[in-house]
Amino acid sequence: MELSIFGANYPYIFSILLFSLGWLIIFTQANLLKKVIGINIMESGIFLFFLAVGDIAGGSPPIYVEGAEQVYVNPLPSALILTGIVVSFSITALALSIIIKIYQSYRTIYMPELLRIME
Amino acid sequence: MVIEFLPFALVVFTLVGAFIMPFFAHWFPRGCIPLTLGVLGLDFFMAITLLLGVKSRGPTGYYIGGWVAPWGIEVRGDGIASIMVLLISFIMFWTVVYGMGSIKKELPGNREGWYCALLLLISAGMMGLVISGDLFNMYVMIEVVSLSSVALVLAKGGREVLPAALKYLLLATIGSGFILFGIGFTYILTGHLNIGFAAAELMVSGGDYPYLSWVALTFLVIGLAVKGGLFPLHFWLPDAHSTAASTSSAILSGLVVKVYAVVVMRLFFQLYSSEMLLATDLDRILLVMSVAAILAGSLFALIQKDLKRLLAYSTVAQIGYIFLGLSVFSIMGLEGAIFHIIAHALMKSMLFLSAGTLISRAGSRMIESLRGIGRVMPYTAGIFALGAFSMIGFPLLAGFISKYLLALAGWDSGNYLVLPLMVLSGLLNAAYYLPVIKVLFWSEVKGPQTREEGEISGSIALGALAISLIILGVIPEVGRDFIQFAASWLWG
Repeated sequence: MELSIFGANYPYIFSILLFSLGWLIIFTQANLLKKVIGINIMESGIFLFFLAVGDIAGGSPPIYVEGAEQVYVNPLPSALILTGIVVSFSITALALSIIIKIYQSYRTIYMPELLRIME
Repeated sequence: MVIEFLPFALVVFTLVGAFIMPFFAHWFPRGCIPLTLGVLGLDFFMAITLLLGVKSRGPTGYYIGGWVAPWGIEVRGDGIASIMVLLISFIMFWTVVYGMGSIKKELPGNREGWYCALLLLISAGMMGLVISGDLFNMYVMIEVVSLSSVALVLAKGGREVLPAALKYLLLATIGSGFILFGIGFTYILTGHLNIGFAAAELMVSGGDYPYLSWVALTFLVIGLAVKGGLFPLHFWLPDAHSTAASTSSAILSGLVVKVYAVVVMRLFFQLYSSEMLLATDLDRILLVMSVAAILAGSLFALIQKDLKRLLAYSTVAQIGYIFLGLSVFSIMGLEGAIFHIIAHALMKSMLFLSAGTLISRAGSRMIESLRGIGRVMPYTAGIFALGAFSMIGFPLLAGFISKYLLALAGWDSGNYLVLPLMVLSGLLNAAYYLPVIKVLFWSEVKGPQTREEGEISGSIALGALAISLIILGVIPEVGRDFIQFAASWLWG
């Protein structure tokens, strides 16, 4: 396999890296807030992926200009990601509010400590 | 004309109900549950009309706002969608009837209105998911369902639900991340989000990119397996389903995990062609996972001392049945899977609701503290026993029919191990349900002594679910006609 494949497709490779890093953080970090940060890193990876899908080299924003011959960037993935960002925002908000509640009733946001108290 | 519009109207109607509910709760708090029941009851009648219409006139499609696919969002009114919509509105309706007595008792403060809004929101999400013919619309609906189900777990209040809900939320987010990635890969591969157009494009060019289609499918299946609680990705399920309020548990265990299985059906049989699937060996992987789910779920259930945790692990095993039906890759397996979705929705909601009544009487979720409660609450405990017998697979109950269909499908497609597996899992189910029934009926009464059933509304709801379970078991033909129709349309 030629190395140039990786050079040309670097946004995809970065997005997979970010995605994997995100869920690795969710699984391995003991601090609940770091898990929420993990969620956001994971979602950013997906957003980057979608933006890379829609991008065309040398493309311009999809706005009609009278008489101009242009190559347009695909606007659909960006529009989808707008929805994705809203979803990710609401997940973060819900997770943070649960963490506040956990802190109020258990006095810790550290996973091993929490498991010890729950026993 | 009207039939085409119905699936979309159902979702919008339920959604509007969900959004006006908080205002309603502010001005007229006593009317919340009747309003919810009204919305769900109307949904039920619309769903029946839809099912009969689809059966007689064939599947329909509707484009939201008049924008035709591939750009517009397509809503599908086919067999599986209408069956699921009917099932969702039926189970939700009777759960809310049960909740007339229990919601006030189980939820702290004055949260009835918000809880009703959540119930309508999750029904709208599930209905929107099963009728959706567009991949991204599916993703949005999946998020609606998963966020509102986390909120359903949280609604009970108290500190016990918080870690369970957070675990559920984190795992559900990872699942939806995988699903969104899979949708992205499918979009690269086909350039379409509409399932029909994407499938047509995959037929033409999918063979040129075998690895990419394999990756897309794997991401989608992993995401949906996490959300649907398929073993070994089930570890959020027992915590979330056992700590929630009993009405929430019934909905989460009876309906929410199933709609993801329906999405898997759509992806397998409508998006990807069967040659493509068989080339990826995904059917073998799913077969192994579902067999492991059936065995491991039952074995975990054997050692539980908490009644609701036992029921939750039993759900893990039953999800295995549904995926087993998908993985044998035949039209009969598909029928068995759809039948099991219906049968399990009925019996698991019945079990969770009757267990809720028993638990609230005894004051503890431990099986040990329910000693002899069947003597003071014979009706409720009898309903529990009926559900348990259906789980074990006694003839004349719906659980038997679905096991029979699955075993038959396995035999037909050359998976001869499915039949002994069904027998073994029936025995395992008996091994953990029969001791509970023994504790309920044949042991010294501990705790409450006076003979008294739960709320009358709860008893009515349990009776309705039990009657439908028996009808489906004694005359399975009432459901099988529609299921055969749905399965043959999905199979294509």
